[in-house]
Amino acid sequence: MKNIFTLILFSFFGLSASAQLANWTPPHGTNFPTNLTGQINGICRINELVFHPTDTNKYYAVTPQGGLYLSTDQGANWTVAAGTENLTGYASSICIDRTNDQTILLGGGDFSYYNNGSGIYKSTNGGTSFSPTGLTSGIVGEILQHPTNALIFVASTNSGMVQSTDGGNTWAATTATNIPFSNLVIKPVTNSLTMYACTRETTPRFYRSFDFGTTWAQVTSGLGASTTFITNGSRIAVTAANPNIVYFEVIGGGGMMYRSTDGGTNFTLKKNEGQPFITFYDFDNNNGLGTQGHYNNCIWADQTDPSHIWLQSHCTWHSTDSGATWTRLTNWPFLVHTDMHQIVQAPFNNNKLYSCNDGGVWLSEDGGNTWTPKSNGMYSLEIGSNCGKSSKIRPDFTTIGTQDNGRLYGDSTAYFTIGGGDDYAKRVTDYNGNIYFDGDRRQLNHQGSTSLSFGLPTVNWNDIAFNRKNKNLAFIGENNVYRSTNLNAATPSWTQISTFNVAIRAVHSSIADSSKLYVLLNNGNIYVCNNALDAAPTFTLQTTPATASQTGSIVAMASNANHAYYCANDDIYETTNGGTVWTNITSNLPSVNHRRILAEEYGGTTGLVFVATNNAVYYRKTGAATWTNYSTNLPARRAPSDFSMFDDGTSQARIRYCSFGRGMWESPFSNLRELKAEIVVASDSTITCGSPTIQFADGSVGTNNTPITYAWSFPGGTPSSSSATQVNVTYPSNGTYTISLTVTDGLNNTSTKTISRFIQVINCAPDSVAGNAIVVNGGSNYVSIPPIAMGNTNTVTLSTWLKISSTQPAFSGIIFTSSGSACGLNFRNNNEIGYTFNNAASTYNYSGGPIIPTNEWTHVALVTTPTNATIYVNGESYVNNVGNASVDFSNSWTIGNDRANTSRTMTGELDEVCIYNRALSQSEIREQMHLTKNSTPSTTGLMAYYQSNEVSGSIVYDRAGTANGALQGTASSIKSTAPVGAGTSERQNVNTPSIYNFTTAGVTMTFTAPTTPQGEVCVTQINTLPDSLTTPNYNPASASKSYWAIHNYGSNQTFSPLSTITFAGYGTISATEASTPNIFKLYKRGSGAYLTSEWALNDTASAATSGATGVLTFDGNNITSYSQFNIQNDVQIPLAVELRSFTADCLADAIALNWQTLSEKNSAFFEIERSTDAKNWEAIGKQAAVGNSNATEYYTYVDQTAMRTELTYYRLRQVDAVNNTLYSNTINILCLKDAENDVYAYPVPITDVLNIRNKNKEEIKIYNAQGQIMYSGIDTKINTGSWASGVYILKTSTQSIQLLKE
Amino acid sequence: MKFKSLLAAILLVLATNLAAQAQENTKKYYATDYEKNPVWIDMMRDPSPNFDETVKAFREFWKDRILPEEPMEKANGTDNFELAVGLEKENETAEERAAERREKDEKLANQTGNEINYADEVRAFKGWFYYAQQWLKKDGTVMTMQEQQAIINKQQAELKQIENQNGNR
Repeated sequence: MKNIFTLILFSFFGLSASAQLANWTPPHGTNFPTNLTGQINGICRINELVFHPTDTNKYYAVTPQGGLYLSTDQGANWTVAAGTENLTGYASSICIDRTNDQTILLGGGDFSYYNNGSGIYKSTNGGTSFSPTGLTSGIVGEILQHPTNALIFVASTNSGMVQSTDGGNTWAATTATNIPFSNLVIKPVTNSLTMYACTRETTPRFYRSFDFGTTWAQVTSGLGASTTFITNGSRIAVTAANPNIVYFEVIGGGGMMYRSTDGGTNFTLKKNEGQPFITFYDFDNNNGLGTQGHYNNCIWADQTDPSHIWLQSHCTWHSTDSGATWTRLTNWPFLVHTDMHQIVQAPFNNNKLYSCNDGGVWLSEDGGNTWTPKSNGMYSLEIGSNCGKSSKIRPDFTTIGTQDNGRLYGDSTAYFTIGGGDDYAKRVTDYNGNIYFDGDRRQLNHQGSTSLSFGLPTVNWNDIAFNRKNKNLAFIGENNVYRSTNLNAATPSWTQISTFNVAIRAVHSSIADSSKLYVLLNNGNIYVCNNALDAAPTFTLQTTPATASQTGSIVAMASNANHAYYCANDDIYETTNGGTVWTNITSNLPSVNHRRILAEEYGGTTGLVFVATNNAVYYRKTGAATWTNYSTNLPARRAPSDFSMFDDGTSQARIRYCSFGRGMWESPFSNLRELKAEIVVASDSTITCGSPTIQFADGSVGTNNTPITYAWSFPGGTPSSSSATQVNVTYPSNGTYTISLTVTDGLNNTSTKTISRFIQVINCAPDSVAGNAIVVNGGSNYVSIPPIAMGNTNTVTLSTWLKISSTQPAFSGIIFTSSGSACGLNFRNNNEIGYTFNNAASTYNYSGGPIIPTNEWTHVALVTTPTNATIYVNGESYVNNVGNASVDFSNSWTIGNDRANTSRTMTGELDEVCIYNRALSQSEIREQMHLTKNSTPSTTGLMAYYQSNEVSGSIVYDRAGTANGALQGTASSIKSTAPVGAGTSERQNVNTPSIYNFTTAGVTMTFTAPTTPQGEVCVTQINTLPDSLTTPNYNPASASKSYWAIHNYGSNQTFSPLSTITFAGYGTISATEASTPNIFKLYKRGSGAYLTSEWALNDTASAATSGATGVLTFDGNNITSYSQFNIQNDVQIPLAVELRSFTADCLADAIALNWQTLSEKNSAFFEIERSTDAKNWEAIGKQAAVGNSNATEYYTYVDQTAMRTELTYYRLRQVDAVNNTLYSNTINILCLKDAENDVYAYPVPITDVLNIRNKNKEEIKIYNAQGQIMYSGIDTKINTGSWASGVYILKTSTQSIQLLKE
Repeated sequence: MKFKSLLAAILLVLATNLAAQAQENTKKYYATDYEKNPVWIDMMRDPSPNFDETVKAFREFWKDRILPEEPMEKANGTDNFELAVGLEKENETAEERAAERREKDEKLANQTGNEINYADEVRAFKGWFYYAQQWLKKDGTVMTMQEQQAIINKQQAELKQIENQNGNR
C-alpha cells in the first residue's frame, strides 16, 4: 500500500528517480555590508522592532519583505525565523504573547508602503511556522495584547481597528471601521485599558478607547492639519514618565507637533507647520526634495523625561521642550540610515535607543547623536528587477542593485557597499570582468570606475548578449540590435545590424557558434540570425503563440547553437533545429511569469537548463517530461528579481537567485552533471617564478556516487602524486609542467583531466634584454604594486624608461605611492615632468623639470636626499633644493598612475622601472640607465625592479624583490623598443682634441679641433641587438656587441667631426670578412628613437680585425653628435629554426599550443595560424622568439577563441627580423566537451605511435585508404611505424575520425 | 459548552463578514478619472483591476506632474522605472534625457508647496509594479496572496517529496 502511495506521489509530481538536491546559501554571508562610500549604508528594511516581554536578550524584528528575524543577544546577531521563509505574505508588526512566547501574532502587509495587506498570521512554536488566522486581508500596523486577559488582542489596520478574544485565531470589527490607522499605543500605566490611535490621512485623526479597543471615539480638541506640503500621516507617542501626556504629530507641512497633558482629551499645538521642516530631507527644503510622508516618519517620547521627544523622518531630530523647538542630531545621508520607521527605547534600559529604518536596526547609546548598526544576519536586501548578476569570470564575485541600500558587490569575504540610495540600474556582466549598467556606463574589471561610457548610441537598452568564446563580441537589444566587436577598447564601437524596429526583450549569442544570434521580442516572436558576424546580417522572423510582455529570456546550449530555449511570461519553449520549430515545454511549472532561463555554459550535452520562477528554481534535461524542483534551502518567500550563472565547468559553478527582500542566494549544480574530472588552480597565471608552491584543488563535477577517490599526478613537482582533494605542489626547477587528476566514483566510473604543460616556471632573476614594456592606457588601466619594504627614509631613487605619444593628464603618475600621503614621479601640465615627496607643496609645486618629448624613449629618474631632490631626464639633472623629511614607505605603489586615481593615469609605455631605497649619484644614473640591472652596483639598494618581460598573465614580476605587480584593466605588455640591455658603461671628460679610449665600453674616439664636447661623455655598450634593424641581410649571430648608446653631457652638443672611431669586441669576424671591411655598416639614430626607419647609414668600416673579438674602425667623419649606434653586417644568414615538437592540448576553455625549438638562428617571432580546413588560414596571435639560441627553448600560446568542438588545424609561421618565413608542420585537435567519453586519437599527423583516448574501452578499427583493417582492438597505444604515408580512418560504433600519416 | 459553540458561531460570522467586507470593497475605476485623481493608489491595492490598466492610470496621472523622487535617484539617473511605466520614451538619447531632467527641475522649482505629496504612494507603486509583474495571471490581473501561497505550498510539497526521495530530512 505504501509503495502504491509512493508511486502515486511520484506520478503526481512527475519526479525522476535520479533527482538531485540543490543547496542554496547566501553567497557572501549575511553580515552587515562593509561600507566603501561616504554615505551611510544598510542591509534591510525594518518595520518594527519588538522586545521579548521578559527576556532582555531576545529581540524580534519584522521586515516587510524578508520576514521575521530573531536575536538572542540584544541585536548583535539575527537569524531568520523559519516560519516566514515560505510565507508569501508581507510582514509589518508582531506581538509576542507575554504568557507564552511560543505564541506569536504576525501582522501582514507592508505598513510603510501601506500596501500588500495579508491579515494576521499566528505561530504557536516561536516562529517556526505560521498559519493564517481569521483575518486574511489588511495592512496590520500594530498588534497589542490585553494587559490582564492574554486571549484578547487589538490590531490596527488600514481599514479599521479589529479585536480578537480567542488568542488571535479570529478577529472582529470594533466601532472603528473603514479608517486607515497608522499608530496604535496603550497608555503606559499598569493594566491600563486606554488606547490611542491615529490615522494615515492628509487630515489625520486622533482616536481613543477606554475599553481596550472595543469602542473608539475621535478626539478633535485642539487638533488641526497642515495647509501646505500636504501629505498623509500622523504619529503618537506616550511616556511612562507622565502617562497623561500624549504627543500627536502631523507629518504634513514639514511636521506639526501637538501635546495633550490630560490623557488625550485636549491638545495644544507645540510646533506649527513650516520651518524647520523636521519631516523633510532638508530643514529649509532648499533641495526641494520635501518629504516621503507616512513612509518615512516615527516619534518616541523619552520614558524618563516627558518633555524630551525624538522624531526621525529622513533626519534625526529631538526636542527637550515638549516639541516646541527642535535640534537636528543626524543628517539623512550620514550616521544612521534614513527612511525611518520606528524609534524606541529598550524597556529594560532607557539608554539604549534603537532606530528601525531602511538600513536595518541601529543603536544609539548617547541620545541619538551617534549610531551603530545592529543588523548582522538581517539578510533582507531588496534586489531590483534584473539588478543582480554573477561575474562571468570570477567564481566569487557578484554585483547587485538594491532598493534603499544602493549598489553592492560581493566577493569571497563579504558584501561591500559602493553606492547609496536606490539602485535599480539593470546590469549584465561580460566575459572580460566588466559590468554594464542601465544607460551607457560600465565598470571595468569588476571594481573599477563606474563612470566609463561604453559607447552605446542609445541609453534604453533592454538586454546585452556576450559570448564566452569571443570575448570582444556583444549584441545589444533595444528596438534594434547593435553589435560591437571591440569590447576591450576603451570605448567600444557599435553598429546597428537590424532594422526591424520592434521592442526587444532579450538577446542571446550562441557560444557554440558566435554567428548565431537569437532575438526575443516583447511580443513573443523571435528573430534568428545565422550570420551575425557578417557586415549585413539577415534576420528571420519566427512567430510564436507566446508573449514576453512582462518577462522573457532566451538561451542556446553551449555545445549546440541550434538547441535553444526561451521563456516568455509564463511559457517556455524549446527548439532543436535552430529556431524553425518551437515546442512548448512549460509542463509542470506554475503559471506565473518566469524570471529567466539559463543553460550551462560549458558542456550542454544533456541539455541542462534552469528556470527561476515564483518562487523556486527548476531544472530540466533534454527529453524530460517535466521540470524538477531544485530549491532545497532556497527561501520561497520572495519571487526572483534576477537569475544568473557563473560556470567554468568545474564544481565552482553556481546559479544565483536574487529576490526583492531576501537578497541573493546561490547553489552549486555540479551534481546535475555527468562525472568529469576538473582541476581548480589557485593562481591567475600559468607563469610563475622562483620555486613556487601552487595549490591544486578538485573541481570535478558529477561526483554523486560516493566514495570518490582522487589520483593526482604532478610530474616534476613535489609531491609528484597525491590522493587528497587539495594539494600544494612545489616546483623546484624552471620548466613547463603537466598536471593530471583522475577521479573514480563509487560505481567505478572514472574521469581524467590532464592539462599539459600548464605550469611554466621561469627564472625571476633580471633579464638581460629589453624584452617587453608595460602599456598603460589611462583610467583604470595601470599597474598596481603592493607595498615595498623600503623602510623609513628620505633617500630614494625612482627611475624608468617611458615613451608617450600624446599630452598626458595633469598630475598623471609615472611611479607613485601613497606613502607619506603622496610620493613619486609624475607629469604636470603639458607633459612637464614633476614630482611629489611627502605630499609637500614645495615638491609638487616644483616646475623646474623639462617637457618630456613625445614619440621617443626618455629615461626619467627622481633622486631624493635629505637636502634636495633631483629629476634626471636622459641623465641631465634638474635640482629642487628643498629638504625632504623621512617617509614611512609602507603603502602600495602604482606604475603609470597616481595612487589609483583614475583621472591621473598616463597613456604610454614604460620599461625598466626601478625603485631604490638609496640616492643614486648622477654618475650612476648616467652609467646605468641603458643597462639592465643584473649585478652590482646597479642592484645595490634596488628594492623593486619591473622589466615586464612576462609574455602572458596579469602579473608583473618584481625581479629584485617580492612585490609583484598586477596589470589593471586593459594595461598590458608589448615588445619593448627601449634602448636597453645588459652591457657596460664608461664616462670620461672630453675637453681637448685627442684620442679617448673608452676601454670598458669598447669604443675609442679621436676628437679633433676646434670643437670638443667640453664635458662628460658617457658610452654604453649594450650586449643585445636593437629592437629593429635596417640591413635586410643582417647577420646578428656573429655580433656579440654591435649596439652602443653614447651621451654627451658637455656644453657643446655638437663637435668637430671625429677623425676615427673604433668599436672593439664586435664579435667573430672571419678573415674573409676582415678582407672586405665595407660589409660592416655603421648606423645612427636619435637617442630616444625606436623605429627602423630612423636608422640612418652613417659610415662603412674602413678596417676590420678578424677573430672572435673583432675590431671595426670607421673614419668617424660623419659623427658630430651622439645618440644610438649600431653596426650591421650585410652577409646573409638565413632564418633557421629547428623545431623539436609542436603539440596542441585541450584546456578547460581554450586550446594550448606548445612547441620547443632545439636551435634558432635569426628568429624574430612565431605567428600562430589556425584553420578549420587546413586550406584557409587565419593568423590568431604572435609569440616573440628568442632569436638566436642553441639551447632548447619552450613556447606556449593559448588560443582563447578556439572552437573546441570543431576539428581545428594549427601551424606556426616562423619569421625573422626582415619577414623571411618558414612554416612548421600542421597539427590538428578536436576538443569535445566530454572528450574523455569519446575516442580521441593523437598526435595528428600520426607519428610512429598513435595514442588513443578511449575511456569506455570501446572497440576501434582503423582502415587504410584501400579499406583494409590496419588495427582492431582497445589498446591505448598503437605502433604505426610500419604504416605507409596516407589517410587512415578510425571508426567506432559512433565515430569516424580521419587520420593522416605523412 | 453551548455558550462556547454560540461564541464560536458569532466569531465565525464576524470573521466571514470581515472577509465579505473586503470583497464588497471591490471598486470600479473610470479611465476618465485617471488624469485628475490618483486612482492608481486604490487600484494597486485592489487585486481586481488589470495590471496594465493600473499602470495606465499611474501614467496618466503623472504624465503632466512631477514624479516625486529621491536624491540618489536624481544623482544616479539610472532608475528605469519611468521608462518601464511609459513616462519616458524608448530610443531616448542622453541629450534628450538631460533635457527632460532640466524641464523637471524647472517645474519642481515652480511648485507652490500646496500640492498633495504622494511620495510614499509612488514608492509603494514602484515596489508593487515590479512585484506584480511576477504574479500576473493570464487575464492580466494580479494573483491574490492566497493564490500565490497556494503555488508556493505546492512547490514546497513537491520539494519535500524530492528531498525525501534523496533521504534528506
